[in-house]
Amino acid sequence: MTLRMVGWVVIGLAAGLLGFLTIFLKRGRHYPIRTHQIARLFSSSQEASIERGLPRQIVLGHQLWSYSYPGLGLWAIGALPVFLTPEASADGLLSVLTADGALAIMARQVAEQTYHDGYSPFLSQTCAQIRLPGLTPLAFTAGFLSGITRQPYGTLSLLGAYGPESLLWVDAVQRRDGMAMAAAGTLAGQAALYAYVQNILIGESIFMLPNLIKPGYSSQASLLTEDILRIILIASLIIGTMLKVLGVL
Amino acid sequence: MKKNLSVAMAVIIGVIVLAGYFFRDQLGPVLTLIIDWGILLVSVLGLLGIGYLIKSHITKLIKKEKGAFNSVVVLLAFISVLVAGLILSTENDIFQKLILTVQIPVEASLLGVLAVTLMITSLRLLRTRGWTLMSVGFLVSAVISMLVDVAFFQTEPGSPADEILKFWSNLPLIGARGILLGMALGGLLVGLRVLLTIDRPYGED
Repeated sequence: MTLRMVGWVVIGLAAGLLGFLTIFLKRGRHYPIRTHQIARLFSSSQEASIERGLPRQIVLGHQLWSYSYPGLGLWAIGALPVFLTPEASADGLLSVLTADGALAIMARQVAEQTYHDGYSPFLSQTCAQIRLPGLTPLAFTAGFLSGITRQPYGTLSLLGAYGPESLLWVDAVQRRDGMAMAAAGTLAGQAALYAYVQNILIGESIFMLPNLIKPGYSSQASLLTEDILRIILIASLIIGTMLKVLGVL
Repeated sequence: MKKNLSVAMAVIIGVIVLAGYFFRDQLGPVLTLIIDWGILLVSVLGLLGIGYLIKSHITKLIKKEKGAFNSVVVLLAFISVLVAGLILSTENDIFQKLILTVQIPVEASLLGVLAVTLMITSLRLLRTRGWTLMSVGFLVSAVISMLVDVAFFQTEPGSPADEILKFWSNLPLIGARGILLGMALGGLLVGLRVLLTIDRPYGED
């Protein structure tokens, strides 16, 4: 079996499982979705920030695509609609930040599409602001830090690909009594933020975030598929190691 | 109609790109064409993004928002670099020196701040996370890895201590590979959700 065939098997299995489970769960079956404290804390912080009129920001990272982390930018864009609820952006204090021009334009499209979906265009006048503080990670950091002048701060959500410079953003937010929630993208970002941020998702857990915040049958199917694939992967690794040790492979 | 067209295009192009990785010989030319179009579109988006950046700073200036002076600096720097780049070209030595002389010290100073913040964060780790197995393990691993990386321990080549040291330097790579495998799994599902039109970031839910 070649690596190409392994790829086909994994992708085919994932696609088959995802399709089957989506249809299966759509018919009223229930998969007990994993609960994570991060979703509850995020929701309560978001509500408190809205009530107190505090600024909230969503960072989409600094790259739409990278060789090491190819899916992160796309995932951040895919997760964005979960955060852009009419309640969250009604006061005009919600902004979406990125260091990538393409991400900024796509985020704008996503925001506009979301707000045109079932809402009057007059209500969408105060939708989320899309900002591009800088075009490199450190230029973004400089722009971000000079932009958060308001004290206290509300909620900062970190999505997508970003590095250890995110520690400076989180530090600035926490100094202003804000709450930071990170679905850390790169390994360096995960390592830096693990030490400082209580509410952090790492590894494959980051892809669960939209499902945790806005559960539904498609989210449940996705989580279940991920769980099954994870178990298969772990079992394959263990069996492969054992066979290697025994000299079979 | 418009909605269905965007869904159909996303699915067809996604499936072709995916299949192209497995059938390179047959789909190679089509894959190259699609990727070239993608790069072109992303570049145009990047240009629009720069325009967006400039627009936001001009708006900030017009509205006289707090920190508007920073916007003046950004706009002046942008115009200077643009004009210099157009006159001298980006390959020109003087132009490159001009950019790097400003960029490197500025970014280095931010990296310095980051290094200090990282150090303070490491020191406060146990206070932030508490005395849990994970936090203590994280801290101990970080300290040992740092000592190994700066060649603090000197061992005889081939000795048991050398083997232990080699094992320890490989350990972070093994952990990273584990995390990356998990992320690849998550990334695969994100892609499949878009391909199967379960997620539609480009259109309505």
